[in-house]
Amino acid sequence: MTKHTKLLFSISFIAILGVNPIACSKAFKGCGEASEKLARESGPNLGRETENAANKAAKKLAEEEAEATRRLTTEEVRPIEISPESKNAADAGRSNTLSQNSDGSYNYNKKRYISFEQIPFENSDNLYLKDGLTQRQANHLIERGVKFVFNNSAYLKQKDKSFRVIYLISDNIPTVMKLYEIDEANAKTLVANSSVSFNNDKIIKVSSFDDMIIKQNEILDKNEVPILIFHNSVKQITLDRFNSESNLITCNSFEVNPKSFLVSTDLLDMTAIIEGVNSSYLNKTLESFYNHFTSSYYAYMLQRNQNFTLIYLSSGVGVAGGIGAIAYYNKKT
Amino acid sequence: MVKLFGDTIAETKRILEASVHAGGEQVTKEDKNKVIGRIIVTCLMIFLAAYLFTSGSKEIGGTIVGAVVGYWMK
Repeated sequence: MTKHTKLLFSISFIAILGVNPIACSKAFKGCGEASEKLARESGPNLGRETENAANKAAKKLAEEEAEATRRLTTEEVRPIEISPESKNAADAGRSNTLSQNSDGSYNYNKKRYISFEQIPFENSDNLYLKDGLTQRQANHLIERGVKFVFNNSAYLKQKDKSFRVIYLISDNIPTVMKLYEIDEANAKTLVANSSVSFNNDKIIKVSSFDDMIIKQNEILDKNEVPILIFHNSVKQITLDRFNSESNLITCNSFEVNPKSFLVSTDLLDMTAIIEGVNSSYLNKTLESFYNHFTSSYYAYMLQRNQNFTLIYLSSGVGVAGGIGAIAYYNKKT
Repeated sequence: MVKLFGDTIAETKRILEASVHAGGEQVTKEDKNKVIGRIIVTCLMIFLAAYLFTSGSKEIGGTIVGAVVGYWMK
C-alpha cells in the first residue's frame, strides 16, 4: 500500500469516526425526545394532564415567590417581581409561561435570565408569551428549535372554544401552484397529500382567499374559532380581511397576527401541518387541538431529521468504502 | 451576513431537506435535481481522484481533490 493510499484511508477513517458520534448522539437524543412525547401524548386522560399541569404551575409560582423572597433578603440581585402572567398561568393550569420583570430580566422554568437569548428553550416546552415576538427573539427561538409559541391573552380567551379548520387548497394543480408559489411537481404532491385526508366537517377546503373570508365569517357567527391554513405570500390587504379572532397556521405568523393563540416563529412544513391537523382535529377545544397539533408536528419533523441523518451517514460510509475499494483493486492489478 | 466558507454545503443541505412550506421561497424540483447532480459529480470526481492516486498520477489526483474540496468549502 502506497503512502498516499494510506493517507486517504486515514482521512476517510477519521471522517467516519467524526461523523458517527455526531449522528449517533443526534439519533439517541431524538429517540429520547420521541419517547417523552409519546408518553405525554398517551397519558390516561386530558383531565389528569390538566390537573398535573395545574399542580406544576402552582408549584412553580410558589417557588418563584420563595426565590424572590430569598433574593430580597440576601440582596443578591434586584428584586424579582412575580408577574400577573405567572399567576394566571398557575390558575389556568399551565407551565412554562415566560414573564418579564420590571428590570428587563425574564423568569422561565423557575429560573431568572438577564436576556432573552440566554433562555434555553426547548421545543417540547409549551411556551406562553404576554406580548408579540420581535425578529431577534424569533431568531433565538428558531435556533432552539421552537417553532410555535402561544399568546397568553388569546389563550385565556379562546382555550375552551370550539374550532374549525379552513384549509386553502384546490384539486386544480395550476391553482395550487399559484396559491403556494410552487412548481408542478410539488403542487401534485401537496394535492395528493391533502386529498387523502381532510374528509370531514371539521375541516373546510377552500380554493380562494375570498372563499376563506366567507367561511371565516360563518364560523365566527357560530361562536367558533376559525383556524386558517394558507401560504403567507399574500398581500397585506388580504391579510387585513382576516378577523383578529382567527387563528393562522402559516409561516412566521408572529409577523402577521402576533395576538393569535398559536404563533409560528419560522417556516412551516406543509406535510407536517397536514399530519398535525389530521391527528388533532377530533379534539373538542382549541387548547387540546393545539397541544396535539404541536406534538404531532415536532414528532414528524424529528422523524424526518433522523432519516436525513441516516442518509448522510450511509452516504459517507458508501463514499469511503468506494474509495477504499478503488484503492484496493487498483493496487492489486 | 457574508460568510467566507460553507455556502455550498449549507445551500445543498437546505435544498435537500426542504419541502413545501406555508410561506417563504419554495424549493423547486429543478433545484433538488441540481444539488443531487452536484453530489453525484462530486462522488465521481473523488473516485477518479482515488484511482489516479493509486495508479501513480498523484499530481492530477491531487488537483481534482483540491478542486472538489475548494468547491465544497466555498
